[in-house]
This record gives sequence, structure tokens and C-alpha cells, in this order.
Amino acid sequence: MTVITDFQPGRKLISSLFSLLPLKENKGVHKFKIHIDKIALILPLSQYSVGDVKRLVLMREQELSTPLTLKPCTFAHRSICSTSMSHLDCKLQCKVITGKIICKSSVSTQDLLRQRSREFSSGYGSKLTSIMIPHSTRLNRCGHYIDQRPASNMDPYLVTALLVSTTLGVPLRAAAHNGGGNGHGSIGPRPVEQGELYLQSSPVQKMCQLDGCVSALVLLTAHESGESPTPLHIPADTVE
Amino acid sequence: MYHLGPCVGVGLADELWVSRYLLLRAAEMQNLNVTFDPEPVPSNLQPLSCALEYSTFETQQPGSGIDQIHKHIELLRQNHIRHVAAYGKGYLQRLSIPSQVF
Repeated sequence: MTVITDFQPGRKLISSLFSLLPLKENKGVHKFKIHIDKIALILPLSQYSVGDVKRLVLMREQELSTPLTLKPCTFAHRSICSTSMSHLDCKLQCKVITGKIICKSSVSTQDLLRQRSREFSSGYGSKLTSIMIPHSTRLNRCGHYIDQRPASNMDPYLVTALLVSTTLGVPLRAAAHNGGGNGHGSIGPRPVEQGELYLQSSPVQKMCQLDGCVSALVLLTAHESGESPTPLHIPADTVE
Repeated sequence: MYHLGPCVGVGLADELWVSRYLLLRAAEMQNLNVTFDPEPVPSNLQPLSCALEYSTFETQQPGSGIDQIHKHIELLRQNHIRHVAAYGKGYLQRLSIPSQVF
């Protein structure tokens, strides 16, 4: 028998709950064998709609021997049907009744709302991590993933170029000309070679000409706060 | 909240800027102001984000796609601070908040 003690909020709770159920990808090798009589989920449904919860439950229902029922339960503060709950006062609760074991968890969502991705994290279906892998991707074992880090005022050219450059190993334009990596590039237009990303965005050019990541962070912070960034004294004809 | 895409390559960024332009124009006709600041008013809510769904040819392959995704995530983990520096003012605000506030 398994006792679930540490629940994660939101969709991660659902995924951690479903990680105990036999997965489709395990095909006969059931790591966890739990006979579930009844599952009761009480979630803050402000961010997570009822349809999501129902869909997730129904996706797993075929793989289980016993049918699942999704209905408002009597011991809950709020039923699963309520769709609009306040962000600040709602509590996250989950009770899983497996036979005779009842597990409880209660987390205030106020503590968790702004926790997203100050450090890098990734997870299945969680809205609080940097990178989210949706449940459809997990079930199909292929598909897309979601980068949740960019803010609403992002520069889309910069973000997409960096994402492609990092994941596919495509060198950025100015970084490719550095060669030895001594950090001394050259400012100015250059012909684009094949296989390079062509970037016109000025922060990227600044970042590519810098040595490390931390200095790029400092430069960008100074630039955003209104001060003029440190001028880069690089002669124009250093590179060949 | 609205969705864009799926687009190929740099087309997504063009679409995003066009959608921002349309939003500004529509608000101008109603005498409204639009801000793209992730946190225009200090509050306890989560700052506004712009999530980016991303997939490549390798991650779309049935069977081996999930392994490729995990490789991508490992690369992104190594380059996290580089991305954070480029992802704009809102993310830097979020980073600079001391942990007692939470």
C-alpha cells in the first residue's frame, strides 16, 4: 500500500496522483498496483478548469479496472463544480481514498503563485515550472513542450532565436565570428554565413560580444533601468 | 489571453507584433490604454507571462520524441541564466524580489 503524503499544487497534483496509476507506456509492467475505489479531488479551479480535470480523469479511466466517478463530494469545502474561486484564500486539498487509506494535503495557493521558475525546473503539466511538458506529450511520447519563462513584454524575435540556438546548437551570429572565444568580437554588419542565425535585435548582439552570461545580465539590467550601458571599446578591424 | 500559431520559425514573432498592434488599435478606438508590463500594479498575483510552445522535427517523432525533449531541457537548464537575461524586464523583476515577499 502506498501513502501519498507530499502533494504538489495544481496540475502537478493531478500528475503526481496519476503517476500512481498504471501508465499506458508501461504495458503490462505495473509499478504500482492500487485498487482505487474512489478518488476525490478538490482543486482551486481558478486556473485549472473543470474540463481539464475531467479530461485527465477520463483519459485514464479506460486503463483502470474500476470506473472513476467525478462528482461533488460531501466532505469538501468547495465542490469540484465551482469554477471561480479567489486566488488568495483558496486552499488546495486533495483526498485520495484507496481502500482504507485517506491522504490529505493542504497548501495555500498564495505561497505558490509567484514561485514560478526563479530557478530552472521542469515538469509534466505543471504551471509553476520553467518548462512544462503537457500530458498529451507524455502519453504520446512525442510532441511539443512549453517554455513558460518569458514575460508578457518579451521580444519575440530574441526569445525564439535563443530557444532555437540553445536547443538545436545553432551558433548565434556574432558568437560564430569570435572563433577562439576570447570575447572580443567586432561590431558592425557582416555577411551572414550558411547555418547561422541572423539577428537584428540589439540585445543579442551585445550578449554575443560579451564573455560570460553574468556580464550580459549586468549590462541588460543597466540598460533596462535607464542608464547607458558600458561602451564596448572594440576597434572595428580587429578580426582579420 | 489569446493564442497564436502554430507558426514556422520567425513567423511567430511577426504574428505576435501584429496582434499587439491590433490590440493597441482596438483599444485606441475605445479610448483605452494598453500596457504590456507583466506587473503594472504590484499585487500578489502571478506576473503576466507569454508562454511559448515549441517543437522540432525530432520531438515530433513517435517513440523517440520524449527523449529528445529531455535532451532539450537539459540544454536549457545549462543556459538558463543566458535566457533569463534576455527574457526581458519582467523576468528580472521576478528574480529581484526577495523571498520574504512570497
